Amino acid sequence: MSHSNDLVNFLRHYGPIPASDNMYDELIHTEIEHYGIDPPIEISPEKFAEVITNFESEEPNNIILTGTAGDGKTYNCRRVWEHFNGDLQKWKKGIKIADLLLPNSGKRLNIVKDLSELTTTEKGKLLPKLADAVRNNDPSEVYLIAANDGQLLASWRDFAESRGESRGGEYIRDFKEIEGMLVDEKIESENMSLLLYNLSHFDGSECFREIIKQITEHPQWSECSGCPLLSEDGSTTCPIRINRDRLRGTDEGFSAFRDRLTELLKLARSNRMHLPIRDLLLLCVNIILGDHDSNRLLLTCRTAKNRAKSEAYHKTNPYANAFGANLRPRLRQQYQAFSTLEAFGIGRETDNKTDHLLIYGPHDDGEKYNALIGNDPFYGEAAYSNALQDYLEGERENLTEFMHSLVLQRQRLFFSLPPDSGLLPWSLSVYQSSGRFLEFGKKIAASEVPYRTVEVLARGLNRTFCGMMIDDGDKIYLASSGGDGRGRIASILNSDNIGVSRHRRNPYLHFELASDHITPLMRIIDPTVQGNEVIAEIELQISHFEYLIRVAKGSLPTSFSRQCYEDFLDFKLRIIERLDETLQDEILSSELIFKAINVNEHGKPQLENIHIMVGEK
Amino acid sequence: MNVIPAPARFKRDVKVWVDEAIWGHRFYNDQTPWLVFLEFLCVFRARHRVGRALIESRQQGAHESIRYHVPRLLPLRELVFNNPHIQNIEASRRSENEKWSDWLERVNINGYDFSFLQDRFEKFAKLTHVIEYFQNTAIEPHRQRRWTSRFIFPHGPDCLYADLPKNPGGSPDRRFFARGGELLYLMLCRSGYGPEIADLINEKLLRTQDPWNRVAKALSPQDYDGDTERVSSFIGYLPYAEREEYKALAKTWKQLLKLQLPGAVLFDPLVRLSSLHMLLYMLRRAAEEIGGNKQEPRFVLEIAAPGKTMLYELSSESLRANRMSTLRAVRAHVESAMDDEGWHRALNARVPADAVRDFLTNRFAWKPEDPVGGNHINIFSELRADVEKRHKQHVEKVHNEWTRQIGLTVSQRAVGTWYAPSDALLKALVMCIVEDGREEYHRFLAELYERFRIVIAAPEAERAFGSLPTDQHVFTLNAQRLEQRLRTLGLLRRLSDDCAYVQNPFRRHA
Repeated sequence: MSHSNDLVNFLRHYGPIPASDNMYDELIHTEIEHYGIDPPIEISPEKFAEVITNFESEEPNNIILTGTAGDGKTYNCRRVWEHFNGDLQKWKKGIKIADLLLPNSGKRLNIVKDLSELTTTEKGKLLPKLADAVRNNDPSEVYLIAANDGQLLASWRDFAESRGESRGGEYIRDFKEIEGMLVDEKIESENMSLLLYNLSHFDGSECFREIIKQITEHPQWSECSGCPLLSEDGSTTCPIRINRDRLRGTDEGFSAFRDRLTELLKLARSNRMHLPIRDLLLLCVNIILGDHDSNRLLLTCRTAKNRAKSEAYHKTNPYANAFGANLRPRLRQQYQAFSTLEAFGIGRETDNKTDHLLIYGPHDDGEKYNALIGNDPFYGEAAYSNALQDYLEGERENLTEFMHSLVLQRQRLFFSLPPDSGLLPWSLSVYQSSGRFLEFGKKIAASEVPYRTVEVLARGLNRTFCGMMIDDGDKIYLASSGGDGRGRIASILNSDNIGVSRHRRNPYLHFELASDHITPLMRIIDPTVQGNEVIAEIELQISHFEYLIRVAKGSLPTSFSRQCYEDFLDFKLRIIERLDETLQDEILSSELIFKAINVNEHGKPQLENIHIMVGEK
Repeated sequence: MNVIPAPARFKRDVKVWVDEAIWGHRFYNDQTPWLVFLEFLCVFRARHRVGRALIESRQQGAHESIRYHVPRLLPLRELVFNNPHIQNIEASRRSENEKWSDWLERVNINGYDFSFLQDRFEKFAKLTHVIEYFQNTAIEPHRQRRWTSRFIFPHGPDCLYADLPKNPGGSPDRRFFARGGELLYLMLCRSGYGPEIADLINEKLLRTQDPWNRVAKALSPQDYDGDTERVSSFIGYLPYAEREEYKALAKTWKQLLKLQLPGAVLFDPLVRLSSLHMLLYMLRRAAEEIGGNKQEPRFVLEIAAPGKTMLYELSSESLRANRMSTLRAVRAHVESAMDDEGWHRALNARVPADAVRDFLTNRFAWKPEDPVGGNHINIFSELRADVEKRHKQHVEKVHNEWTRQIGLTVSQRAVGTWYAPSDALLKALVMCIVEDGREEYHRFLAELYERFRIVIAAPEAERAFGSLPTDQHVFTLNAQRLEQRLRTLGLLRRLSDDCAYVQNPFRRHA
């Protein structure tokens, strides 16, 4: 019997399986026992402690957990049940509404682990009680409900509307408030005894770090010892161990691979692409175990030995596995993890410097080539050098193959470039300003907004607002196109009064962080209004940020330009409306002054006053 | 029924009174949705000056009798649309004084003295700049219309003027201001929300103090009196005193006018959705005339897909049905005469042919070009041929023309025409429908059907057709494509795999 590690067998269960499987939590639970995994891989979602504290208090609130399938709603419910000594056997029977007595409040806690399991009749019974509980009309009952948000809203709305104006329409008001909480991402409510946790709002990148740690550092990797592929000094030819080490990084804890993945997840979050925990587990496992040439998609200890023996490492490439390259396209599409990462275009995008190194490096800059490509005996030099050699010698028949291997090398570089390489990993992605974006967010959090970036963003904004190649980011030029305001070129200046740093009298551009703690919030503030009133604001998602930076640099990317352009145009119209409002009481004079804006050949805005005697009072 | 008899003066002037009896006097294909809107503003402005804007009195059972006056504003229009030399003169290397005198000499063909502009603008370049501004922002600039039918953007009340024939001193030929705007005005009057909407219009759309309005005013001589050469008209005819469509139209206006947006931005959505409401009115009236199993109108929209979809078939099918319905209505209307007591009396008369001719010419205000002979059947088919010919010339074309103009249909060579929304129309619909800043996606789709009879997803298709006309999946994909489209327009946000919200980028005033 050849050597095999049960941890590997167990991890395979996290791999690509249908995401809608309702039995997921139960299934994993059984497998943990089956393989004797200790400690189990467990991600305590940020909110779990708060949920427990709430139910332990003397005045517990009701809690609703929402989120995308795979966020761990059911898992949370089970943990609560266990925490308060609920009978696990009873739970396993699949009971729809489980109840127990809470210690300090003496209230009865009703746990609905999945609202969608309830029939219409059951929901019809539950909702009135829940509605009473959230408005504190029932002193003895409290609820923990796990539900998909769309379904929750639909059933609650139906219920509230069926009650109509009874009790002064308070059910409808409650519903509106819950809807508002959900959309505006609010947890607490002033009027209701309710905490609403949307598990899709947690920071997936932090969670992913934790998952990588728990998986790659799991004590049961020690069961590999004795395997012929693992030498005494720790070196190995086993693709599973190699991939695990790549993800885990050095003993000092540095892993470019892990860091870049978590950054990608942060960016995805800023673009409102959310990956549930289930997908994060899948991603991590697929990176380590993904296998390109197998119906089972994932390596086992036995197939890993075969790959090592035949040196078929091109089939186990962890950098390609991150994008689900081991899955057929049709299957790959079903997993959000892969489609989300795929959207960054890593490998398809490139810059001259990187491609030059990849193609001419061996001759031009051997040292660097060896340090970045030659040093990887499994996925670098060895996987690539033959194709490159052929290409350089003029072989063009297998061009597709060469291009493919080039893509793989770019992906590998993206995930492995050390900080001091002189190459820019983000130039290998669609969002070339990603690094700057993440940095900008961090600086805002630290209240050290970097002027240079603000200046570039303001320049991009000016060019968008006016439709001219303005080279000025020291203030905001707000201009109208006239007519219905949607013309691309806006040459009538509304205001050049908005600065880009805090001002005591004039409106100014200001940055804060949105509620996800990643995305910058661009605001126009009017300091003359008490409490620094926000005139208008727009969230700068990575695509918006990239748009402004690229426009400031002089190019208009078509792929995401339309949405961003529309968003900024609406932003402009909102500012104009509010500024106009504040200027309403301007006295009518017999002379009108317009400012026309134009740019000279150096990109400098030229303002021209047009005086018109209107001859009226 | 609450049908109001038509004023006799209109019946006198038409060849046969059928289109007008069904829909009103009148819908006309040359009048685009923008021109309907401008004509409306002209009527509104005129009535506002006498304190009656959208509050018109009407005697029980009688039609409103409204005479309104619209200025010609020829000096302004000459400057903007009949002033080909100004740019050349500005570009020439001449002194300031030479430019002015050269230009004044050339522009002064219709007897106006524009020398006052030199005082008002000082520099010739600045006048040129302002004229170019008005040219660049003109309404429907791509259309090659006579200069007397071109319009500057309605910045305010002093930018509104009458549509005129080639000879600007003549009386209007009603080609571009064909009374569609008058009907719109009457609809809003009768909606029950007239005064409220009138206030909103004055506050948001027709502000006297708007700077560009004041500039437009300053382009006319100070002593120019618009009232001396104004155009006067009696308002057209709208048959029904009360209808749900008037209320629905008013609701849309109220919702749009309450958005926190500069008024100028509201014109585009108002133009599109007003015409959409008027089209629905036309279709519902047609269905009433046809009678029988009265069918609600429906617009099945195909959201653009990479390949041809089943939705395309359904969409072009629903377009065909809608287009046909006006002709069917006209036939039904004419044929209904045969159920009349008068028809039977005529058949029993001493000379039935004469009696039938008298009956029909009287009933439909029919004025045949040549004397109509033959028996009663001949006479009747002659009438029907006249009516259909006339209908096909203009009213029948309104549906095609307007749906294209407002972005409800697209046409492709060798494929045909079908319902598919433009981005601007989608945005207008979101701005109008989405209250409180947001609406759940499926409810948004339901509301699109409820208010505009727009069918995109399966539940609405089921309501519109009684049962699903094709595989549900086809509609599901259609709805997904719309979601994607709204997302690219920044109008939709997905909360989870289970839930998405359409969001209105503009808030409403409380």
